[in-house]
Amino acid sequence: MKIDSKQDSIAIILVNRTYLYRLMQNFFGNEPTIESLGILFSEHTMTSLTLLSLEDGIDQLKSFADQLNSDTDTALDKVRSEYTRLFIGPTKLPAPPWESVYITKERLLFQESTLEVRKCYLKYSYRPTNFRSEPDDHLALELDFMANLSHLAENFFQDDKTSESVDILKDQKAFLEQHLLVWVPQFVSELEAATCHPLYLGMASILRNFLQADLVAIDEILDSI
Amino acid sequence: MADFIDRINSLSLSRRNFIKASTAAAASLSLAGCGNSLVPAGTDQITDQEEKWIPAACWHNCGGRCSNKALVVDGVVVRQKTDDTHPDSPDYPQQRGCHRGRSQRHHVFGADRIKYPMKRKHWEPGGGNKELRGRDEWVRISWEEALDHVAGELKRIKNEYGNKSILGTSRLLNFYGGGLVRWGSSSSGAWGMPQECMTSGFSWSSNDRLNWRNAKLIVLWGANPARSSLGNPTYNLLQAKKAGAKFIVVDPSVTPTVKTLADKYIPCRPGTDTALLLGIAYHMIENNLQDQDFINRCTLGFDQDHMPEGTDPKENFKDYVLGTYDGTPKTPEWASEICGTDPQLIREFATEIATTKPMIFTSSFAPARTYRGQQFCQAFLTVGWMTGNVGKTGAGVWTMGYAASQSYGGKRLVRGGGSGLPRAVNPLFPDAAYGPYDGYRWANPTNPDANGMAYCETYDAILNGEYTGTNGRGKVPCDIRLIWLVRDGYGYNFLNQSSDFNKGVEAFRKVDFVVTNDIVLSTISKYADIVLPATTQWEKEGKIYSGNPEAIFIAQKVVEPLFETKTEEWMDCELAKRLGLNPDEIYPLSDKQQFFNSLAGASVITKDGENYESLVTITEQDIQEWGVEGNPQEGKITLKDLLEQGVYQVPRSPDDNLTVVQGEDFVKDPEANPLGTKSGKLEIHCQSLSDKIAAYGLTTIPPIAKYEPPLDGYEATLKDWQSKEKGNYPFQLVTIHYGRRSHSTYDNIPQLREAYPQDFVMNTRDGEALSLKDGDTVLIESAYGKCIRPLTLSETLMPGVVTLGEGAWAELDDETGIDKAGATNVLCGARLSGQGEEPWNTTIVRVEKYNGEPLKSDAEWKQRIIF
Repeated sequence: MKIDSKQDSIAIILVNRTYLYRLMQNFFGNEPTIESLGILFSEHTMTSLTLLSLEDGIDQLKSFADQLNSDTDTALDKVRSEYTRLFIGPTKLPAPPWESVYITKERLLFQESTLEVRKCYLKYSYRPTNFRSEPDDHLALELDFMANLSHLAENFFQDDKTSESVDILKDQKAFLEQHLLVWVPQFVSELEAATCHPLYLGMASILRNFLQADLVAIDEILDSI
Repeated sequence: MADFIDRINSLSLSRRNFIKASTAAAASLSLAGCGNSLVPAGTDQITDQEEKWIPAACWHNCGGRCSNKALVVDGVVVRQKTDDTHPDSPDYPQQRGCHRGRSQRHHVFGADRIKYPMKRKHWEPGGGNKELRGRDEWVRISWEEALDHVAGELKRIKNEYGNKSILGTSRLLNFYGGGLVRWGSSSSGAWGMPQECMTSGFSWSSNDRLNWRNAKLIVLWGANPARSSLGNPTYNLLQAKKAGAKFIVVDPSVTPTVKTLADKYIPCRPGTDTALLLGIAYHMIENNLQDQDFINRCTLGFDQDHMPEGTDPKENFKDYVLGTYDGTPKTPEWASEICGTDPQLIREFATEIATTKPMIFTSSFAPARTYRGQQFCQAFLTVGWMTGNVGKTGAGVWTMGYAASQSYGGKRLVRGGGSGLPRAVNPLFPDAAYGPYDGYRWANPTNPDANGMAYCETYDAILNGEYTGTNGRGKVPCDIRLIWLVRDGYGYNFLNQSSDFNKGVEAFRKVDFVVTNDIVLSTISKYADIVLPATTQWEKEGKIYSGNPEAIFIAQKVVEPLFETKTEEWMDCELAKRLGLNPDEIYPLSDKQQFFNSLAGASVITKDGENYESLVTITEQDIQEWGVEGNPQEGKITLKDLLEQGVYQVPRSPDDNLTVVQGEDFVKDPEANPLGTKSGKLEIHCQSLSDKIAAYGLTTIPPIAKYEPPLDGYEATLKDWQSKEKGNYPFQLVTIHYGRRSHSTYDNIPQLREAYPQDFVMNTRDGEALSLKDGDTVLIESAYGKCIRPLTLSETLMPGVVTLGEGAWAELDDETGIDKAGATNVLCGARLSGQGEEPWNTTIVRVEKYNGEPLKSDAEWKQRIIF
């Protein structure tokens, strides 16, 4: 492989993972809208998933996309209700999207593990929008953190600042290993047990596989540069 | 290794185009939704790792109060602890919390907190699809939208139907014309009126805690402090035991208290205590064991020679017991057939309480939470007084209900000051300011201007459009459209906690609008249209709490409000603006000023035990730092120290000046020191009680203690009294306070669910006769509803008696009508009795093996299924 093309492939992976983290952050952090679903079902997203071999779950996404096409209002209404039921409440959340819930086994928010996550963010001078009112370790916040860091790593790489890029990738690897991958697999299992909705089933599976694939991709990149 | 790099290389993508497309897609994602994202942190937000213990509220309604502290690091509570401000000793015990208080952290930070204003999907102004209440989907709405809806419905219903179409009371409503009040008695059952009329409140209070150690015998009637009064009561009682007191406990069940304290256990069927007491009285009279001198000097109505003026001498208690006029002597044998206690045991018990002095004779509220429960109160006081154990050291006849009064009495040694917030009274109910009423104490339902109905008549009032007016007003028409429960965050949850849940659901599905605020989706909120997210006490400005008379607790703000939660004061003010009211008039003082006022006004008893002095030293600097109005003052502890300590307790020792012998002066010279009763004496025959109860318009009682079989009592379990053949509902249910919860609060806490399985308990022999095994899922059914629960077989219960803890959050399956949580109010009917007491402990049920899928343990339940 030529050096140039290898560099190009790394750049593509870097930008691709930024996009996928952003996509996941958007999906798990917001009630679905026509606009966001449009992006989710776009050609670019499909390509992007394929690049990391994330085909599992795409069929379920497509089945929901068909529902959305045939009866937009009903499908949108249903998926929004499902989002509310799964992630907002007020009934007991079947798969609460916060890390501490799975770390403590007591299903509690704002725990010591939340402070650990807070420290990781602060190293890069980030804090949650609703600091101290909403826990720092919401899935979407952790994904946002990864998206922001991916973007930084990608920019450093583009600017040939390899060592800076490597530092960030190492921090991301640590964050994956010490946080996201510690709890997301259990979260995803509980989510899968709690929903019959194809969109959430599909995205649950994509999320789990993506985080694992990203760990592999980071290792590959770190080995190559 | 997946070889992503090689793979992408083989696809020959254009780096530039791909980056361009990705960047564009990512940008449009950012536009499509920006919730839950990170922002740059200011330098002031660099994490602060300092640990700080903050005295934290333990606010649930357990009847007591203990010290609770939270270790806070950077706004996160990492641990809890309880009182360690001084070494523990029997005289000066620490105020240590129980497993529930120590689960407060799990309550505040549970993933199931209500986070945002929520609306039922198919509700619209006027009601929408009302049938879907309790099973609808939910929609998150903005605070603006929520407040507009709530104010809009309140305004519409007030304008179209008037304030009497609103059920509920709150500070805001009191400024907006008021609402109908649900009145009655839950905790203390039928005790209120008998105490007021027969004793003028005399037997609510007792000798101080250390004086109890002088008793030779202590009777706990229907009381189970080891389970129901957590904190220090059982420890205090153990000190009396160590000092030589013998304990006798009367209960249908061998409770933890029996196991911990009792020298003798007296079984008695639920709702039949009056019969047992009459049997005891018979034995005393037969053997002339009563303290006739005390009876003659201090009471009225015992025998024909000591009757109140203007009454028929034949109406005396003694002749009723002897059966002089009704032909039925209330012998121990007569009693035994009803209450199930062996006649010989009744005689021994009677002799023991009549001849052991000094004796403390105390009752809990539980036996009075029965149909026409006043008869028990009358009989209990009468038999207690017959022994003459009143006004003497180590002696007394008292009602010890709440955890705060169990084993405690005497003067309040330290107390918080008032908040300074002016009282606001419901214009539709004289003297009623807030919430639910054990009506006899804070507002009088028999006032002819009182609008509202008994707890147990609420649902019928909604469904049938009328309720019983007190004072002979007959049926009062009503048209209830709105159920209002925007209240303080203490967990008042009447749909779950009042009798006849099934009828309640039907009633809730009839009205136009149900609004609640809540910290978690309690049962009543589950059936609401709009639920507003409320802060817990940990997220609010501080407050002084008191429990037993020896200590106060100064709770402070622990963390910022979670998610979009708000205080009820904030909600009231925002709603007031939309209703055209002035928020500053409703809350003229800030939360902080109110807290400050209660600290500045706190007082402590002087060493001589006669007076009170200011507790807190406050400096000009304190006032400036707090940013409040006030004056510097001298006290016993600085503001800073008090806030840091979080508890102030007055030390006790046996030789201090704080001993109180309740009623000593009265008993020494009743003529010179009369009580506040009509006659100035303790009234065994009490016409005013009989008249008062009649004024409620529900049931009647005679002026002396007589046994009349209660509705749904033991007699109703039998098809035939002579043969004792069992009827359709052969078991008597006792609804006990349960370790998992404080009433319904905490039922959602996973670790408490795991520790306390909410099992249904029945006698082993009864179970075997029905071929039931330990652990079976059983169907429990009454005339009012049915539920399923795991079964525990135990010899600790009298045969024919079953128990289930009150307060579980109902999980009603609309299809089958089965509640799977074991909410006792599914089984207890809404029956109208006396002064509106909830007659929970007279409930009869049948039990069979459940043929459906066996229940999983509650700890494994994932979620409330609502679709």
